[in-house]
Amino acid sequence: MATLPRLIAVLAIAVCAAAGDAPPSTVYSTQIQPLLSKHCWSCHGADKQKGNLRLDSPSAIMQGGKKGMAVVAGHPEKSSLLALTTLPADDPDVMPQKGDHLTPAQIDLLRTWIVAGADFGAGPTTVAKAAPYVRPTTTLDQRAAKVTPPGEAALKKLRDLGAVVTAVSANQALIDVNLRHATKLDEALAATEAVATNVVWLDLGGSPFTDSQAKTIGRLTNLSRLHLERTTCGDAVLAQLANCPQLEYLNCYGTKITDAGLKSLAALKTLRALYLWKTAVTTAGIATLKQALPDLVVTGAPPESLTNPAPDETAGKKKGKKAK
Amino acid sequence: MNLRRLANRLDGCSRRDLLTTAAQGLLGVSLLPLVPSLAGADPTPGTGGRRPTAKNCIYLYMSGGMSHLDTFDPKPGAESQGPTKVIPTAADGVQVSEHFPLVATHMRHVAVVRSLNSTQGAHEPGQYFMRTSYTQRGTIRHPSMGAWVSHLSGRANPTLPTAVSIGGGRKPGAGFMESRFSPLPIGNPEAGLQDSRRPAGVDGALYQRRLDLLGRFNDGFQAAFDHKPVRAYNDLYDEAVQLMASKDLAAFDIKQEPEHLHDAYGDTPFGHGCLLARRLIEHDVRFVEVELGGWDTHDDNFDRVEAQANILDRSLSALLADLTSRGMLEETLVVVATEFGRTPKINGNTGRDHYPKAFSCLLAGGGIKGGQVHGATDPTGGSVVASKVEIPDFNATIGYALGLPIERVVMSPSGRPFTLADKGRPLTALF
Repeated sequence: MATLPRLIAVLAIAVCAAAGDAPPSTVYSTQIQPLLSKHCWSCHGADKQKGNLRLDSPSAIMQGGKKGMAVVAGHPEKSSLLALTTLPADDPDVMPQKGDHLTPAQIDLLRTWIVAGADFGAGPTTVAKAAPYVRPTTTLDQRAAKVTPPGEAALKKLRDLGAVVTAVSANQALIDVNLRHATKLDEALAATEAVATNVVWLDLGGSPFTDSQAKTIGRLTNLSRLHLERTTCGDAVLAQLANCPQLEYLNCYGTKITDAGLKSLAALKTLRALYLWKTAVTTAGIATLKQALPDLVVTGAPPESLTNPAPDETAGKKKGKKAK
Repeated sequence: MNLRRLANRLDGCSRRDLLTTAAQGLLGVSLLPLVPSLAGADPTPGTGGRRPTAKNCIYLYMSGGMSHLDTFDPKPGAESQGPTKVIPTAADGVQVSEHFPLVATHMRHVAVVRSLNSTQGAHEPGQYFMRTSYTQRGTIRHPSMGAWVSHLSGRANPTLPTAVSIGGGRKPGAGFMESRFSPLPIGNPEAGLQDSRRPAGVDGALYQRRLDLLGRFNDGFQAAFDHKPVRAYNDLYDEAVQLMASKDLAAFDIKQEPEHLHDAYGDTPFGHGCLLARRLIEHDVRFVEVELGGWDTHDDNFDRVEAQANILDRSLSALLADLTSRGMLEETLVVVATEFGRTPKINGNTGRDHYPKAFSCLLAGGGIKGGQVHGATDPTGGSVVASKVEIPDFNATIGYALGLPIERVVMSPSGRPFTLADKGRPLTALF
């Protein structure tokens, strides 16, 4: 993975060189061939062919020698060129036998080139295939580009009040704020307002959060996930959510919300998951909301076995228990 | 790049240079400038730019080697299949063995990885590899996944441990890391956390006096010998005292769950373990492992697998349903892992033997796209023919889901570099 900066350098050189010169430069001609000529050709070139191996032309390289295939495209582990140059310095078989051993950077370059398919002709794009793992950009990362990262003091204040703050975008502009263990919830909620545009996930699950604190939620205009489960809040919070047009996930399990509150969610076009187990919401209320938001997945009570098993089933299990 | 091999063949000085360079690349220092307070300031770095798809993980470990053919990679019609039949699931085109009728209904949430393979064919080395991403070495103890999570993610609940391990025997624990990162072991989930209350004759004042006395002894010693092992020892006391005072201690008490829920999860230690896992996750414990043994079916494979599968089917399906209703499955990655599969060839005792060449594991929830199969084995279940997954890749996927910096190098006390999933790459196609 350390190859990324180096690889960028390789690509940059290759691209720059390609811009003016003809024939077009390649990774092979600019990087690999010079390395081979300096370290290998004195024994594996026009003058000498030790081990029946020449490394001074693409066809000779691919032909290999007495010790097998020097280069197997895409398979560094099968390529003796790499195997022999990476041996410990005191190994009797290590290559080059004469002169300096290859540096880690040079070995890395060879490996990168072989992994990418050991291309002799094509441009640098083929090497890009060997690029190390980079975490893919997420939709949050894209959104984060437009947001100023939170200030140090504001984060410290939140943490001091017992909030767990986690960055959820690559540039650290968007944050997850968990207030479930906050020492003073009122103050902690007030403190989130200082980073209002940064908070995309807010977790109040099981906290003493109530409707009287609902106004804060309406100020967090970038919210996409909101946990209200197992709090005593009700419809007043839902009314505030009109200010959070990017809300995707809303957990109201075990709260006091009702059908009336559900109506205020109809305008949230991005809402895709809503949890309503142990609320007073009715199937009619859900049906009305689903008319406005047909793609919304509403999750209510779990299957009956988890809420209240059928009487005969319970009896059967009781018997089973006793038998044990 | 093969860091370890490279590092080992260099002398001390150039090795350090290499690692400095490597660390810069691996840590992405040049690419992602970190806001200090989100990354560096706290002593357990790792909150910076996590980009998680899951906040928590429930890791169900099938100890002994779960037969892939008789569970999640059945081969109907093949001679190697034996008497185990196949059923369809709620996910189109995904079939599982007949022993999982309940899990089959949740298959929309589950991704089956059928192309795992391991290099370790005995239980202890196999389990060690699965839990740590490294093969056993005489010179180092590698940390388990739970310890990595503790180290890299920091606490969500200030008074509960980050990782808990329920049931099962000896595990890698914190490895070379400080012992405070070791998952808290719970032997019997029904009994919960033992010895977490003051003895009857000790009131608050007496308890505080004892602690003060302990502190006085320790302070002097720690001032004189300010070493990591000494600090680790004191940390352990502090953690225990903190835990005893936690208002969330009730998280460990599954008796507070209604009886019908106990029934739904199953009246087995594993069922209780799964129920406890859910309670702990609900209280912001990040990583909970629950172990189910009994999969080492060298003889009488088909009856014994059925018995274990019934336990797993019931507990796993209840867990998935319970997590779904509470809105927790989206943010909780549920993993079913094992050390290896079992031979397609049925032996003389109607058993199956160890088979690391091909086996199956499950991933569900936590941002995983369910209802899909990753990789495939040949028609006998004998070898992987598509999208081979190495154990480090599988573990990197867990780390990726939790938003952990899988590329971050953590040095052992002896100065050797390790990462959460060795050189594994996450299976991003699963998300």
